[in-house]
Amino acid sequence: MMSGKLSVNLLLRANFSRLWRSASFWTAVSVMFGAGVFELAVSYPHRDQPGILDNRYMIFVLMSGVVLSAFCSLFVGAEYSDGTIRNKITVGHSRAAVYLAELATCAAAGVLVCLGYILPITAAGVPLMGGFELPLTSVLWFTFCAFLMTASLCAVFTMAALLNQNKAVVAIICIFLAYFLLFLGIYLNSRLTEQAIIPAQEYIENGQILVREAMPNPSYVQGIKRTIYEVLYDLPGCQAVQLIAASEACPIRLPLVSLGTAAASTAAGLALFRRKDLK
Amino acid sequence: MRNLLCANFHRVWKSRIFWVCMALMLFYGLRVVYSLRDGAGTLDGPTFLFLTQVWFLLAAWYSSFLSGEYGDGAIRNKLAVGAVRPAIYFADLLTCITVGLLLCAAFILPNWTLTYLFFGHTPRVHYVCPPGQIALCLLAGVLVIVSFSAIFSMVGMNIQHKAAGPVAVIMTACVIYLNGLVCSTELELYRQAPERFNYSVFRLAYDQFFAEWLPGGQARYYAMHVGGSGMAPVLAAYSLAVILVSTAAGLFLFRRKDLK
Repeated sequence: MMSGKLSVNLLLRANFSRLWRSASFWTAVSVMFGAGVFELAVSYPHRDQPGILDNRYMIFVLMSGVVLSAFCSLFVGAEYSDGTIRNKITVGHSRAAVYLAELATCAAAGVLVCLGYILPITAAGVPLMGGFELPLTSVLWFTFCAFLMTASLCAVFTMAALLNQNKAVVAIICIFLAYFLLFLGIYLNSRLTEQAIIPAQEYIENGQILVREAMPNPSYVQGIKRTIYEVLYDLPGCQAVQLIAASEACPIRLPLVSLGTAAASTAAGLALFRRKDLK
Repeated sequence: MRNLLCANFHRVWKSRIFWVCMALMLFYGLRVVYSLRDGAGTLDGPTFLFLTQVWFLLAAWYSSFLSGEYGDGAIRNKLAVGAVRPAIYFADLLTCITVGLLLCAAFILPNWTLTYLFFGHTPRVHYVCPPGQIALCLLAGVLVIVSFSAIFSMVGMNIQHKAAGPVAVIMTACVIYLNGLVCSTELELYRQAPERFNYSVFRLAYDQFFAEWLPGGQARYYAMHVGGSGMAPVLAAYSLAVILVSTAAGLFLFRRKDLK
């Protein structure tokens, strides 16, 4: 058994060497790059609208989860189908080192995939559309939170991919999970932003002006249900909607939840991967 | 062909993912009935809500089916025992269509029965469309399923990689449906007030393609506009065109494919 640091270094070098040759990685980067160019082309005619570049810049956070769910399942799945994981363990690497190296590679790939979108939208968008309306610190803070959310999603997808040897099933589960979290976030956003009171309203009926009194909104979520909704809304994936909604000042809670999710999924994944029967 | 279909359906009945998808559609149908209890309005829209969900479950099931076809060497075995490529392609397409219709039936049968029993005669919620129009929309809904299946087959049968095929099918389904949602909303807004939206010809064509030609936008249309679905015959004609073109393209590529 080799030393932990040397082992992880060697594994990372091997993983990154595979990453640069991976068709799924370059496809993911190309998809995000294409999306960036498309968003730029669509928003260019409306460049006079205030905050248009800010809105377009943030869209990558909605797409990254779905794109990375496909990438992680294909990239990590190839480790099993090509017998690479068995080879790594045979030459003396510990399972923990193999797991952590995969996680670091997927998280780094996640950030690079996001950069695939950010690059065209900033490199061409800033000179063509006049820069961001938001202060630079807000843009950087949003980007940092988005990267952490992406990395935590990668941690969840890596766990799923390393615990199941069937590549196709893993791909289906990860993509389903990514979409589920995204739509859950959209649903929770609409429920949590309901007003508690419907304001008084004047309306005309049969030529008479009538007034409807202010009344409690029956769709307003409260009590324990609201607490549960708020906890779910902070989960990575759902968080993407929240990040965009609160882009000017993303609460510090969001990156902390991302870190917590990544730590919890890595701990659970490691514990199960150590006991896994690698056929 | 009959042997191929028998083999495919034998795999379908044994597939756990198929039964999970059936259970999810059944649950969704019952959930829609439950959600009607304190609402008011028409019953026509909710009865067609299955079209907004079935595409994803069909894509998930077809992905798992495909991974078996290529991953387990089933297609090569079928060729080895003398089945011709068009027969294999059509057998897989028919299996996909049948599974799509079974998923719809898992929603429709309990949902429509219970909705009619509990709410069919109350003034609060009621049907607007005559039965003939509902039947017409149902037929158009069947074409949406066939159209989705034809596109999935075209994509999936031509990617041999065990995992890339399923991923491509699911991603295609998501792109078609989500673009359909966005484009049909944009197109409706444009048609209400064209002068407010300065759309280019390219953008209009893009919106129209995803909203009206492809099954994603059509699924949304039938779920939202059953009461006034005057466009159903036009959309059905578009569906038929998409089915023919995608099947012809898929078959053409599959016949020339190098099956390793």
